[in-house]
Amino acid sequence: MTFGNLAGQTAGWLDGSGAQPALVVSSRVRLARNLQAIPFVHRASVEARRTVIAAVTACCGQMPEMTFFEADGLSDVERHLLVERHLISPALAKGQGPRGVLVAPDQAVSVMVNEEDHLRFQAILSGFQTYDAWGRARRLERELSEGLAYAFAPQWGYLTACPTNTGTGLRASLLVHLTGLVLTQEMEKVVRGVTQMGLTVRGFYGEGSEASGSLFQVSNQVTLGHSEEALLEALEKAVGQLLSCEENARETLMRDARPQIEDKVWRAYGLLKHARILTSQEVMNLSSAVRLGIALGILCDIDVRVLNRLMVSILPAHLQYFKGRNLSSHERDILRADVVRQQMTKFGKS
Amino acid sequence: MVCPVCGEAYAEFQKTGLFGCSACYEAFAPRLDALFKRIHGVARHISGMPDGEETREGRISVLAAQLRQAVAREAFEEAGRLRDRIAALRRTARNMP
Repeated sequence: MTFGNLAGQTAGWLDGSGAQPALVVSSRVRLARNLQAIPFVHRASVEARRTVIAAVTACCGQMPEMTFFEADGLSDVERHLLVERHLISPALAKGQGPRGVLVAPDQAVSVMVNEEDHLRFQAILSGFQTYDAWGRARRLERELSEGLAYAFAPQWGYLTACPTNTGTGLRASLLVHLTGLVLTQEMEKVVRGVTQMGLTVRGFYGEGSEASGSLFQVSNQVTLGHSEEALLEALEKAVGQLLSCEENARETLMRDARPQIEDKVWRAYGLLKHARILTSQEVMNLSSAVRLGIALGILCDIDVRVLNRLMVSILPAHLQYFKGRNLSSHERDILRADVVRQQMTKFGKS
Repeated sequence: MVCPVCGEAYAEFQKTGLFGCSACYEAFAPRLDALFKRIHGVARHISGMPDGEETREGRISVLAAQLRQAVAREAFEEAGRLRDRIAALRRTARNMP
């Protein structure tokens, strides 16, 4: 698989499949692992980091479908495209030294190599399917474990660079659309409740990011002292409750402010279909209203899949990669509006 | 406290928040219980091992989760079997030296 093949193919996690796709955009599970007898990445020499890459790519002989992309072999735009696809972290994109990512063609499973830990296995699937994502990440981790020795101690579990990941090394996160709770101004209260249940709620782009388009990432906080299954069960349970709060908020909105909600949805739909200049933030916010409109049955001629695709394809690195050159922010806003109009027409149901 | 393998000092770990290598865990062990309790609420791993084996506590916690689900589904026969397996594992745990 060349980088061009990867970029040209829509990531599987955007396909709108899985349970409750209007509320849960994606389910992601990552497992942090390190190799025995090699210093953790921030203390590893260039040679040691190359050893990690060589060990991982050697194991992939059994998995010819997986491709390794070395970060320094990619341009800045290409690395950022991988960030926008959620295949690498901003830290890996910005980092230095031998590092990269191993990716499956459907982009559902990948392994970041030499990020904070030697290996970060990831599975990302569309909709609410945490256990399937865990199964996929786990299977890949098992397959590679045949040729690799992970750093592990019975009392502490998997040994990671940061003590917040020690134990299972598992972080499961669900990307959820909570616009009802945002509109009814209940988000803060709900976040407090969810935090008390041992979960973290963050904006769309992870640590420290603002919530964009009412999309939030909910993930487990602790990784030690519980089995992987127990961590996933606790997350699913809490997110289940969160989603019922969201549904209640939506019912309240439709009962008390139906015309305003319908107006908001249709205006957003109209703007996305006809605007000539759009910022990323604007698209995220308008998409949020359209996503709500789909879930409430107000809009029937568009699918969440279109919005999922847009969520990624309108981002700066995607726009610049497909245009084939760097674009100013103003140029991007114009191109973004073109892309949105095309996709709304091409992939709309009518 | 300094890790004999990578040379990371505990003070450095406190500053960066990152262990230098897997041997740092042993080197800093006297401080780790308190640290892990603060971060995770507990200080011990209870789940699977790299060779696919699971610790007994981990196995019990998985079975207990399945038991809760079985009860919720009102699959009482399955719940009974799970309860017996958990009890058997707990018995072997008590008989261990």
